[in-house]
Amino acid sequence: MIKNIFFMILLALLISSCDPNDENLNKKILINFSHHVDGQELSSENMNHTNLAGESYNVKTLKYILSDIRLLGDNKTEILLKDIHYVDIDDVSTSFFESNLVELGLSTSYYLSFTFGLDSNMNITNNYVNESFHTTMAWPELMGGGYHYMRLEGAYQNDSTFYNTHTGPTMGMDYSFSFTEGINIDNSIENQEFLLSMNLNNWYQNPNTINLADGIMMDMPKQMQLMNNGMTDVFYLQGILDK
Amino acid sequence: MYKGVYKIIICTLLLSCQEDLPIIQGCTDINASNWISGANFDDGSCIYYQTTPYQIITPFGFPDMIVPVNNQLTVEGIELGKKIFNDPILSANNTLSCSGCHIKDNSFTNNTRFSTGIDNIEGSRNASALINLGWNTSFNWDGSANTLEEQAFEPVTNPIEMHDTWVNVENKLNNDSTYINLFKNAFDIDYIDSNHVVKALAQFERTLISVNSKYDKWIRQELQLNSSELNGFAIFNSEKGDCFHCHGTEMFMDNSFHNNGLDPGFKFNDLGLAYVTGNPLDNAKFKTPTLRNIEYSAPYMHDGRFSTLEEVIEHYNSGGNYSNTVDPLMKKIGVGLQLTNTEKQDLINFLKSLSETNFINNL
Repeated sequence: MIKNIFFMILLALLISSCDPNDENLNKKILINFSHHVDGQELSSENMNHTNLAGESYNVKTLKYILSDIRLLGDNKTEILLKDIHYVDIDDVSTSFFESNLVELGLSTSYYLSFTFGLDSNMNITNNYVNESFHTTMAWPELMGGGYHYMRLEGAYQNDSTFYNTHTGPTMGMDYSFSFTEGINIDNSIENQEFLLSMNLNNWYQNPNTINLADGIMMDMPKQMQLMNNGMTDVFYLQGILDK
Repeated sequence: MYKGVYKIIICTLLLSCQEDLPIIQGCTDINASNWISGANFDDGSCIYYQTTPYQIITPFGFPDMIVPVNNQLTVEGIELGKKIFNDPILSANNTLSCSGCHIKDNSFTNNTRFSTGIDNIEGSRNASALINLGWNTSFNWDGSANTLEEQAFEPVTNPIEMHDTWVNVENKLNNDSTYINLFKNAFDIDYIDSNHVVKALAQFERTLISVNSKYDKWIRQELQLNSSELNGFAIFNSEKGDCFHCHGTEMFMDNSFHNNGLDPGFKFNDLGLAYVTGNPLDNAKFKTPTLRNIEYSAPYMHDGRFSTLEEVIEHYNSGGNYSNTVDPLMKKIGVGLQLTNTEKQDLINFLKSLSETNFINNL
């Protein structure tokens, strides 16, 4: 009898020691990244795109960093999906990431949040030497140090006139910004897939119209304008593909 | 009876609470000399003989070195690699060693535009400097090799380089009692094969590290750069010079490929990366070389077309040539950087501060 009671207590302890969110053990969220210009597929050769300033352009390089990517619930639940995600349109392996939803609690609504770039606490020279972006996104100490947030490059007006829209901690100023948008998490679905889209034209408009011809590099007011445009409507969560 | 049932239930519960473990490949045998702590998937790489591990100290601002699990560095392997590197035994007529084209005094390249093979045939690309290769993610100007081991296979059989066969090389090495002993000591093998030859070469090449230049000493606050070098450093890291986008970080390279406007599009003699990828958008893109010890590794570019650093700077200063694959980082194509003569000299003086005399003298 005593033995049975002992085993019952042990069983109860074991059951209670399991994570209360075990029901979420297999739940995963997949975030895909897509990029377009007002709905047009990115073109690297022809001048297929036109910005608000009337400049035609193409896109040869797009690399950027998102950090502190979280899923938030209105019940104060918060999951860190990924510390840093680097996207390079030339590397398909960077076009998505997957994360477990192990700690996801029940909430009536959820939000996806991230920082575009790295904030000043994270953006330190040589902080990420083992990350694939270390060599391609490094931002010289003399310009503020750390890493670029984004490198958007291509030609505009004609094939041989190039633009470099680079954002980063210009002269040490923090131009990173936060994005938060509602996300339709369905707790009854095991694997959920979302598309985080970037409309490149919106970097150059709303509220600030930016001309590629004016140049952007090392221009602090321009960095501020790009940040404000970025915060407005560059990113959006596009649709849900339930699996 | 109940006891047994309880045990089964408890075990089941315990198992059900475990999370999936990540798969870490490597040697899982704790008795092996290359056992990897945490490895849970044995890849058959266990080594049971006694070698002396060689530890690379990661230099400031560098990533961890890329070392294959099945070719960890050992003192014996490195010494063997160095011997093979300097031995013409790899060439068909025993006249050309790796060091015949990759000369120590020239930062392990040579001062000719193209190297000449054993049949007196000239190649079409400048021999790459062998420096800090352990941090490269691809090799050769066109990225045709993914590892140092893979790269080392190629020159031996290349008809315009060593023009040998691996069967012949293996025969020569297996008839040499010194090599038989050295390979036994380094890899515990009784028959020398090509896989272990390239492993030894790769081990040696990973030790060709240069991080003790005047620039490094300045970073470590051991000395001061002069005003010209400092101004060159500022130009290098500014949008004016814009060298840093391709030659940034402490490695002074980006592990990437670029068309830097050497030739107009209708005049590509060498397709570079496109030979490997088959993608026309990669035409004339070549791997960014490190600028460390650049003073010693003239001539410059994939085809050695520039004899001096002055000519290199002038290329960028005058803007280069447009083609449809030229990198948009060459944003002043046809116009150029428009540096003054003083600024150009300052930039060159800074580049020369990346030279490490010990690297070419003491290895």
